[in-house]
Amino acid sequence: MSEAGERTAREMPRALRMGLVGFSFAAVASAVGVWGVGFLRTGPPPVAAKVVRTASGCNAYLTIQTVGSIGYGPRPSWVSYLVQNTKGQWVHSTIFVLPSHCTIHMTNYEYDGVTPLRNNVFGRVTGTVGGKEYVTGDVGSKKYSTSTPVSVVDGATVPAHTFTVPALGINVPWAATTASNLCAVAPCSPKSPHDIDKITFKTGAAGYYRWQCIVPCGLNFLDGNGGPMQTMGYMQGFLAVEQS
Amino acid sequence: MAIDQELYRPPPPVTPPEGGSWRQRVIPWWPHPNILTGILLGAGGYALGHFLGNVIAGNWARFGNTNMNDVALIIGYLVATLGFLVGIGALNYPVAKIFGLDPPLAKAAPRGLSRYFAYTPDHKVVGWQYLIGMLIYFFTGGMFALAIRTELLFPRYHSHIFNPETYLTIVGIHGTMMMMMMTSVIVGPFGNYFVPLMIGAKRMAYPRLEALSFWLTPPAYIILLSTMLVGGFPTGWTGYAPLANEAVQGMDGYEVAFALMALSLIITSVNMIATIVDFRAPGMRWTRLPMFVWGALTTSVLTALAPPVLFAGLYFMGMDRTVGTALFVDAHGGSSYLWENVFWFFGHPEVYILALPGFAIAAELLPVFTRRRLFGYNVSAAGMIGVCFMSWFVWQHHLFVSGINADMRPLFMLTTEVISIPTGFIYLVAMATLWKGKLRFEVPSLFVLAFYLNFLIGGVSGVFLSDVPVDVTVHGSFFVQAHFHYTIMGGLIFAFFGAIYYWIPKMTGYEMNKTLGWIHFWVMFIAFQLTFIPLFIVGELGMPRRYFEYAPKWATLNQTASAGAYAIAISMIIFVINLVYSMVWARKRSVENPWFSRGLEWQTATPPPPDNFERIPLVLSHPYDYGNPIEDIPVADLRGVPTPAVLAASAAGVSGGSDEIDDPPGPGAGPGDRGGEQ
Repeated sequence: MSEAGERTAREMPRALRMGLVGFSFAAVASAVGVWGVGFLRTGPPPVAAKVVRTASGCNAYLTIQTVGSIGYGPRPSWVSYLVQNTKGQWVHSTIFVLPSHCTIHMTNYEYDGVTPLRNNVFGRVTGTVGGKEYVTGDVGSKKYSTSTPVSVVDGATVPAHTFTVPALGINVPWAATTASNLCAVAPCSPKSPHDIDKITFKTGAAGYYRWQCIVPCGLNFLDGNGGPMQTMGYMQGFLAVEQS
Repeated sequence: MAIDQELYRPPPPVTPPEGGSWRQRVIPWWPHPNILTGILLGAGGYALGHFLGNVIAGNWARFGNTNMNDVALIIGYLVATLGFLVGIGALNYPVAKIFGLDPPLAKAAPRGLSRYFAYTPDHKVVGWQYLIGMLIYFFTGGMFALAIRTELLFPRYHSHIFNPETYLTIVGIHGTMMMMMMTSVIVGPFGNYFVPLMIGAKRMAYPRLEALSFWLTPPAYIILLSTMLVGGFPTGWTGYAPLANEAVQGMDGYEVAFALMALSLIITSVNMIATIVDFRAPGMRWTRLPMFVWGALTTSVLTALAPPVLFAGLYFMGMDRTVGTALFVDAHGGSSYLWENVFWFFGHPEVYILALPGFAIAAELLPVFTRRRLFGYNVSAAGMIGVCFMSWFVWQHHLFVSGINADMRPLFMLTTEVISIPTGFIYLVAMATLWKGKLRFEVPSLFVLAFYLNFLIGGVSGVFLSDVPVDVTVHGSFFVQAHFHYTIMGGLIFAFFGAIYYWIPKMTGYEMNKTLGWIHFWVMFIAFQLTFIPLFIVGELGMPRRYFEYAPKWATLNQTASAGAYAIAISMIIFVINLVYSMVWARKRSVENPWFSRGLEWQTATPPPPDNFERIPLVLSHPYDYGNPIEDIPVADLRGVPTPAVLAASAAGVSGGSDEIDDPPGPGAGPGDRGGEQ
């Protein structure tokens, strides 16, 4: 047999080759598509608060911590929030699942230092029961060893971050620790210097409520507004208020 | 002549070595520059560039504190692009020339199917590469559109598919990818393929630049998609500062991808202008130039001048984000307003870069399917030139609510309204051509008619938006979004599909299935209206763009629009099925000139031979001389050498082109041979 004949005999039929190429292309495109959709849908996990229902009503307990740097992952130096799940584990997330028409008892362990507010309006506590937060630790130059109600703070010397939910009218400036040896890797231990800030607020109807830190705390980003300030899981999140 | 021979010279025969089998000397396909070698060197280039970026800027405090080394990413993208171009063989020719070597491209010019995956100077292959490439762009951008419409199916609470910044990134990639694609979707495939055929040339003026213009688009595509891996970008396609300065690293991909596309556009336009001005066949006077070529020319003038402004703006943005300049940072002495002006000084001519090719396609096809001479040919060409000129004086209507000097608003309102006059020229010429025409309802003509209907809605709503009071009211709403989708998708994309159905038989020699074409058209047309009419309404009701939550009262309208978007996707699937069915599965040989067109491109063999024409043709008459007594005069003499009889028939009309008739081209000679070196 001639060289050409041998080559022809070894070659696959054209239709089969085209089919194989088409099938391979479709398989790769499908795989990329499935992976792409999955990738696009990734985000911080929703974490539910611990709910206690009694004859007097619904109470939920949400415990979070705010850290100056998360210390791991792709953005280790970014300022972040963590939330405790019902098993007591710290989860890196800013999506808090809460029951509707319920009283929420929220505790923030504040491990970050002071970042001044741009606008002192956000130094006022609003939307909480009694319009107050209860601070243990530093409030600027003052130190409270027991939980002390505070309704307004000096925006230049007190806040580390804020918990601001525009749709619910909530704004809470978390009082920062003034210590210098801050925790740098989350989750932080209570042995690290910190403040404890507690608030109580009520949820209304079910809904998806955006919250955001108003303090421009994106270190080294333009005006402090980039990076963690724009990224879910760091300085912004949602209150997923579910029908109870 | 020497150049053409060099470009299309077949590979030299391989002779067996003494005492050995010739098979040992056959060079396998993979050492030749091709897309796989390009990808390999591109990936290696990215790693090298990223490494260099880390060496240069890894210890900069800002990058250390933000965990974002924009320098490494941008250098990575640039070296990856360079590596890809080296791998595909784009630099072989110039480097060989620099060292006085025999250009390797001429020897290694691939044949067969592999040439579609290689760097080739064949304008028809580049046309095909653009067509498939832009369809991939379009379908990818379309997938992101479906993601947007899926997210907007339900107004709020527990219905979110994506998180907010992912949604913004999806919107941004959809917009940027579609805008990048739309700038090239007509001039890229059909301009490169058909302009030489329509003006009687053998090739484009700068074939290697033509190939380069295409091969810059795959890196741009990959880089734009890669933004998802590094946090996305929140700005949409407009990249407004200071948001762009604050954004995470995905913004770097936006900058580099858009800049590569700008570079591609500039190269394309220079090539297109040089070809049209200098490579017209004898007798192809300006007054005989096909409308499609007029459209390609005026579009190319815009793409030669507008994308450099974008390129400069993106360069500034890159400097702001990497080396710490503050060109767009108000607090440090720059101006975010500068970006808005730079961007829209590109961005509004860009709108006409999208509109003119659509009009050109429609004006090209309309006489063929009405069997009437194009009414007011000169007016139509003047309209295109007028739009091309006026498009430089309207950009600030995008900034009516930005705080510009209030005294400037009436001026730009006026210029925006004035540009509707040359646009009206082009539109009314088409309507007059339709008048008493013997319209044939073929698939291409249906798309052309839909183009005019959609553009009417888009254009009239654009006149509304040019008025300051209306613009202030609906700025940033879905009304604006619906308006520009009617002009761009309803206009350009309908023209694009009309062109595909019209020219595919010429490009392949096979017919597209008519029944599937009809189904494709009607599903797409109805679905398009179903998608975008509701968006006019929700925009009028106040729904803003780029929000992933909205008031529940707008849910029904949004769900209708989403259903329409899914139906558009179905129409695209029908198109792909038709393409595969007609070109691969059940191929049916097309007749030479199925539409009975007088276009010069239809006079040569189908599909066109490697050199387009055996000889440079002599153009004898107007391409749109339908339905009048001189229709019998052939559009061109393909023998190239004018005979006395032909000269007598064409009377005085043969000497006004780019070449003098008393210097007729000999066999194989002519404009296509004059190009010289790039």
